[in-house]
Amino acid sequence: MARPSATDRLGRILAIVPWIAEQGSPLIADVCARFDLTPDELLEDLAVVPMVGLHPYTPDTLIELVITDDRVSIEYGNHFERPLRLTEDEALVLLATATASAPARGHDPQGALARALAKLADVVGVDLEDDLQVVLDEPPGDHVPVLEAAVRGREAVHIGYFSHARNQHTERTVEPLRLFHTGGAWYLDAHCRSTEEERVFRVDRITSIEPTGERFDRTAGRTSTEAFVPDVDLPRVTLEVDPQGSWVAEQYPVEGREALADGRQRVTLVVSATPWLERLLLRLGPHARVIDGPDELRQAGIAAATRLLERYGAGGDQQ
Amino acid sequence: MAVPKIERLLDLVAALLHTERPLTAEQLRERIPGYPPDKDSFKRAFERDKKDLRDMGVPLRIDPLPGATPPEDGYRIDPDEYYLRDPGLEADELAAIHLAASAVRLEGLSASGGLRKLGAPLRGGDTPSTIATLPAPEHLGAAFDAVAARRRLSFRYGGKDRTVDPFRLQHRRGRWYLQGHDHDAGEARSFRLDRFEGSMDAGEPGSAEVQLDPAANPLNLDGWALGDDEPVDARVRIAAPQAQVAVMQVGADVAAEWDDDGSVVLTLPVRRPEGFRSFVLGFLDDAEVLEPAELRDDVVEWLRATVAGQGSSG
Repeated sequence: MARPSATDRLGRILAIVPWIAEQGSPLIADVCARFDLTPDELLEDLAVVPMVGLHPYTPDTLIELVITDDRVSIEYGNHFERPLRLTEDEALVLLATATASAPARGHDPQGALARALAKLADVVGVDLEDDLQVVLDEPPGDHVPVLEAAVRGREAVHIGYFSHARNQHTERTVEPLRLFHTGGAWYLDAHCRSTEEERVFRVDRITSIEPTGERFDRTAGRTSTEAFVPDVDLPRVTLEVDPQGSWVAEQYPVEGREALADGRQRVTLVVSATPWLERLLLRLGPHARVIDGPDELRQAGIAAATRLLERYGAGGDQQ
Repeated sequence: MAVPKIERLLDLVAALLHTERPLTAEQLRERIPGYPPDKDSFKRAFERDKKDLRDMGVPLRIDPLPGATPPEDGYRIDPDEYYLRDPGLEADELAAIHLAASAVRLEGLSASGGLRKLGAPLRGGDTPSTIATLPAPEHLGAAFDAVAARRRLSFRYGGKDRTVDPFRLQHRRGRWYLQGHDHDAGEARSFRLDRFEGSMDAGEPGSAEVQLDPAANPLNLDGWALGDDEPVDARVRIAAPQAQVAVMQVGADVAAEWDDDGSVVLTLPVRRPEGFRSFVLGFLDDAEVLEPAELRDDVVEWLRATVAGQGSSG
């Protein structure tokens, strides 16, 4: 582990000293647990403290630290009465995480989290009704809480699922292992009993959930919260897009990106399935061309557009 | 023996917190053990220390010395600005904050600094069963502070320099939006934080004079609704395989008429045809625009342009 910088240690000490003073004489083990330090790290920090004082540094101006067996106390320590105020980043992280998790856990307006949020907002000086909204958008209905309960209760569920990549509606029984939210959508990590594999399902594409009453015994193999894990075997295509199509590089994970003249660029993308590429190419329309990729994918946009034109009764009259 | 830097910084903070009069750099050099005696070396070391303290959020003030001739500035820390006011959190409330911070993460921003100041336990506690990851674009903390302290902001966005009085910071669908009164546009605008171009300057607290009512300015992120056109009701049929997914996507406010074959007809108030077209094409063969004719024709024209453009060999 890298040695902490002087400012890292300063931040730590400025929080630990007032905490110890407030507690009286806490157990060293409790201080370590509270601040996530090893005893050696804590003692190294505390060793500095008795040297700190005020001009002219006579003994009565120095902080007095007493360590006896397994306890520590600060006898004269009003140099740092309270911790340093929260920085804007620290305040935001605490308020945003608490605001975001409140509804997900079945918001209890009298609960500990709600009370803590109100107190924190008051100290930070922010109006939580108006100033800050952190929404983890959930699909309508109760899929998220139902799946969360299934994960906790280790109960297999039978789901209907629309696979966006394959453009197919399927049904299967899965063992829900973990629910996560990233990039604005909820995902379920689950062991699929049909394929005997761990798969990621996007919750807003789950069309139905039926409990099976069957318990399972398995834990999630994945810990990442990446929703899309590109498979090395999947095909790639290279597109050339004009400036109006440049959003593709912002919205999708691109593997290669090369700037060309006139604001055009060349991007390489992993293709999870043909319908996925069709959607992308239809939305890009005339602002993109496929310039490299397997033969069966190079015409995907044109083929999809031609199919849809027929549906609109406009297939035969092209000029 | 050389005095370690950590000790010097602690002495410096203690001296500045507990002084009645601002202290000059010269006084600090004399009083704080560990500064180099040489004037230039001292200056460099003192500048670094000031920067370190400011980066940590220590509110270091520079005030004129009362009665000094010639006028001279000194340094001090106002205890009211420095100390965290005690929020009075009970043990169960601290545990709840800790659990929330382990269940939801902001990419690249750690919660441990704030938790530590609150005295929340950094170790142990329940393990969350659900995890959410939120992005943390560059100006997020400063934008939050600007909303809370009502600071006027200047930044570049969409190729234009803007002056904005912010009234809300919001996370929706995986992105952060700052909403505010845009002085050039003369009305409320929403800005995606990840699209800010370059730096952002914040004015003094209270400098944002125009405070719009957040309730009267909701953020609408639907692609077909994010425009300035008069709304046109568009009817689109979604076939059975994706009907339910579409209904979930548009939400309960959109009128949905179900048919016996399992398809559904949605009526969307369209203000932005491009956004509507993109929404419809996302359903591939399962969606068909029924009316109005202009929007149906717009999709057809786009599909023709797609065949022509993607088929050209450029």
